Amino acid sequence: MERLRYEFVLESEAPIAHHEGTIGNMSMIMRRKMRNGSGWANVPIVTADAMRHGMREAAAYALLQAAGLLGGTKLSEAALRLLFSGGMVTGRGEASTIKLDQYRELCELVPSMALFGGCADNRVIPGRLTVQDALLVCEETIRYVPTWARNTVNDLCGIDTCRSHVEEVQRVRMDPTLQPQKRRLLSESSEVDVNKRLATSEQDSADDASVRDAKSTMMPRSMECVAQGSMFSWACEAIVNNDLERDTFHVAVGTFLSNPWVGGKRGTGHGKLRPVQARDVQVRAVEPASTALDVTALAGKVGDLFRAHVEERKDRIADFLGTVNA
Amino acid sequence: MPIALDALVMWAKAQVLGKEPPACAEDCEQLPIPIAESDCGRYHLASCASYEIEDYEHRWINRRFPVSEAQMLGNEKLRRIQLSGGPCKSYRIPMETTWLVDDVMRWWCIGEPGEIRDLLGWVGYLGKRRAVGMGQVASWSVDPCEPWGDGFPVVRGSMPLRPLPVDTPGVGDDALQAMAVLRPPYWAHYKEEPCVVPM
Repeated sequence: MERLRYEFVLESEAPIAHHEGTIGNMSMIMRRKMRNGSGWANVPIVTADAMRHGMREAAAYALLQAAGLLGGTKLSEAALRLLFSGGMVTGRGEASTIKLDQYRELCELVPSMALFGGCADNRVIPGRLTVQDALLVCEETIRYVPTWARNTVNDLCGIDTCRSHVEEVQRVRMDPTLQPQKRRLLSESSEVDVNKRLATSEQDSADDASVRDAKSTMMPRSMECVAQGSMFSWACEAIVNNDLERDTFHVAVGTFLSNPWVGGKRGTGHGKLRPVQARDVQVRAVEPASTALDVTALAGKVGDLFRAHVEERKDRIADFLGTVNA
Repeated sequence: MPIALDALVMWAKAQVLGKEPPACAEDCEQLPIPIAESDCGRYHLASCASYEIEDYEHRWINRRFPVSEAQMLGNEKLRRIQLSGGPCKSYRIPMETTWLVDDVMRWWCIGEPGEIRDLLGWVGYLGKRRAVGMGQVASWSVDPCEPWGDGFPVVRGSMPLRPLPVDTPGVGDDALQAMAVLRPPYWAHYKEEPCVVPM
């Protein structure tokens, strides 16, 4: 048995729009309460749930690719739920009759289940992977950031308050009917309706109903983002019992960090992270001369055992995913 | 119930021995741990966690069905996904987390400090939601201490520091009584019996 702990410094290559909710038309960035030297602070984070889901997703895609299941549309709803959300207790079947050999088979066919945990065939499997929140490296969080990460960030860009990392931006969804050249694309009847509505909206509105009926669909909204170039401290750890579990962990971490995206607004260029440095990575058997790690190359280098294991069992995996109750 | 030390040590022992996760409470074995047992042999001489709460925080647990993956990878049978109900339902559940005074929890026990220290080294997280980094242990400190007299380490000032049988000597009449389990796993509710429990 071995306990692996990897610590990272991540940089936001694009603004991070990871929100916890909205107040009116304003989306608020995800924050966590934290004790600092002089009291309490609410500090922006990327939640461990988001990071863990990224790892789970990366491991699931790696499994599907190795099993040759990525090309087509072959997965059932339960298989999707198992691979990408960890499954659930469905209430079907007899949970009390599930035996350890079924657990072993499940972990053999889907190696990431032993690490991430989940629920298949009404059996809840505890995971052995712990992922932490990606913590913004700032003055308020300094006591919780590992010393090496603190020094790295300090050398690269300095450490500021969390407030200076948060920007507030506004975006507007335009109303296409306000532009004459787009109105020309409307059908005749639609154009009449739109013109009538626009004429009404230009007049003084006498009551609430006419305001509502003639309202433009233009929608301004604002949101908080963590600014591009902000640094995050992140860690994940796992208890592994054999080489396959260790390799699966490396595949999940390496594949995720080869192209990590978090939060919303990805369609408009938000959420891209980049690993800057990693430490305490216990893969010295693979790279004996190095203490730091090239995380973007991790999956390609150490996933051989995982891929060979899955390829060898790809028919059984396809059968299992076709019938699983999760 | 606060976190019990013997449960942590027994979990660590199971990890060290490479035991597979139990499917249910009946699968759990009573493993030998370096903590002394009571004279009656019904419980370990180890307390539950003692701490004070300084502050609270509300957080949320969110879950969403992987819709984009379903569109890409779903088979021909997957034609409709009901997000407002049923197995694919998205949810957002409130959760309360606590902050402890000085970020410290304390336990007392009678046992082998070296072995206990080694086993507790495997315990990196406490409580629920460990998978997402909650309850992280910064460090463990196992130090010998002076017993406070009768009842050490499970009764202090006539109050129980862990679930104890109702006939335990030294426990006051004002101690809270409830159904509880005396040995790990403490989530095995079918083993509950009348006990005096910590407040």
